Amino acid sequence: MINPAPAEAVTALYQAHALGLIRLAVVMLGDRAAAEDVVQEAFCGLYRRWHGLSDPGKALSYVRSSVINGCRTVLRRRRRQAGLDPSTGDPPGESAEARALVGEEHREVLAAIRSLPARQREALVLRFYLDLNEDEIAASMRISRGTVKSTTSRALASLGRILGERQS
Amino acid sequence: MNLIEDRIRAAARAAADTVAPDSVPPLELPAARPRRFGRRHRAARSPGETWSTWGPRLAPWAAALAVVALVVTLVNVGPPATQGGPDQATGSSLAGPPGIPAGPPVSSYVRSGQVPPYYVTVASSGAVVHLTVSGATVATIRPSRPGGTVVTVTAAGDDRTFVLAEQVGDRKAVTFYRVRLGSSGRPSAPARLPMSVAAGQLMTGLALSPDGTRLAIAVEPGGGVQQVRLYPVSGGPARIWSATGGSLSGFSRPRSLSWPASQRTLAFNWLVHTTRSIRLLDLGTTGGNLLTASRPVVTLADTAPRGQTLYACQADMIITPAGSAIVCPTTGIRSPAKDGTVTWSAGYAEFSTATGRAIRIEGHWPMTFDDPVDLYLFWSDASGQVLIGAIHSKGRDWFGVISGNRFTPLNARWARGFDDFGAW
Repeated sequence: MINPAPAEAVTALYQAHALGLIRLAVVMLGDRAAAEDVVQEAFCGLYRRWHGLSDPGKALSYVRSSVINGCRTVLRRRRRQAGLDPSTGDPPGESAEARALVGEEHREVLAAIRSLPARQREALVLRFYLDLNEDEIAASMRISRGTVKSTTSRALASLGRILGERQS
Repeated sequence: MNLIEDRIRAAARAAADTVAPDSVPPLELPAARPRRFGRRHRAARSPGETWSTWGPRLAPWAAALAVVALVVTLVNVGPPATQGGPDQATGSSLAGPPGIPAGPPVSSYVRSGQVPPYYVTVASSGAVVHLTVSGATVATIRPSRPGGTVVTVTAAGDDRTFVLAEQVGDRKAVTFYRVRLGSSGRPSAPARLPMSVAAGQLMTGLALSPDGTRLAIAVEPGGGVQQVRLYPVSGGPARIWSATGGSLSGFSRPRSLSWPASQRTLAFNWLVHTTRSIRLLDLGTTGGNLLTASRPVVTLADTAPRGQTLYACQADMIITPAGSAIVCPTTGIRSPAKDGTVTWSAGYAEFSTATGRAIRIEGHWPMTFDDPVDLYLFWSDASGQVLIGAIHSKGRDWFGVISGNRFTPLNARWARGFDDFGAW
């Protein structure tokens, strides 16, 4: 039996933010089905822990962190198994339709982003896709603001190198 | 569209837009959706099989597991929580990253005094003193205030004196405590130091002087201002150097400022957009402008034009005790071959503070696009040739002693995310 109060609150939060979070996971993973799984799991986790939340106002931050952690897990598993093809950056599960929609120029950048270490990728996506500020990124990644700054700077440097190399 | 930031924004938006607003599936909460199964596996189950039907069957097992977990937790809480097991006795059977030659056992480094015998990490429980040789916990230093967190730690040059920075919340004031380790590594009671960083200001760097008498703190007080503050540990006024137009932030706070043994200068990171330089602050000055009181010793554009051999220097850096070199990890060592092919490698580059040129590279390892590597630096010996750092590769982290191209793994791990690790 679903406890109605948390179920309603979590469902309302899902309706308001699922699209954004699925999109976030798609940017991270490049795989729609995996992205939906990660977001579903994150909201189910929120539902299970609803009564333990010290501040329900922080539920979105909590679920965003869960999505990021879920993406990290998927990536770790993916690397252990077949692996991302570094030459194309095509993630397993990416549909031909999605590939066509994204376009070659963007796919190159996405492939470069997806070849970064997970923590650098997360910092870049949160900063430049979600436009989160340093405090919000710090809360989502559970690191300090100082580390957010330096991780982003490190990621930009790595990305510049990768894109430069692919063009040479 | 030239700026890399713009390209990231546009590419991410393009990927995100492949998810149409009306295509979001409905939320299925646990009563209708067992956690064990992902969306793609649901069709394989019988329609009526739900978490509520599994729950009663699994409940006795869950209760038993909970009791076991509780017992294990209680056992681990008892001080000192020394870890056991054959790996942790000497660290000798730990495996290093694949493909990187193994160095001598860590015990030989510790026995010969080449690396410090203890290190202190920051963990959610406080500051934890470990044996370098095994990673075993010697003691845990709890935060001094209720709700407090030890956010970072810095070490003097005697391998025994540490300063812990403590905060009750992210934007709250930072307070400092000194601890000294006895001959067995047991810490003294933390002694509160007189300086603090006010609430709302961001501490981006922390470095205790080699003799333990002065504490350098990098601070962003707001308004784009960056400061280096130098405090006598025993009390008294600070000297403050300030600048705008850049950032002092390093990857970890103990690695954005670094002291040579002479204590006449202080090395600091200075990042302007994506151009990182390492500058030497003249501590003979009384304070004032941070940039006029310092000089750049290493300047590397993180997005330098292709063809530059050494492409990027990451945010961690250490000035060697002799003050003659800066060591920093880099994953951007570019080696073009005569046939036009280019290979990339990672390593710990050492730059002369006199000329700014690279002198040598420790731990020079090949890198491929399908194996993104990140390097971290925590400690350097006087020569800059024996280092303690970490490699993030293939989704995991290895901590170790680096000498030449060899890597001796340590039984260490990030205790709290990959934020400030701790200090040797």
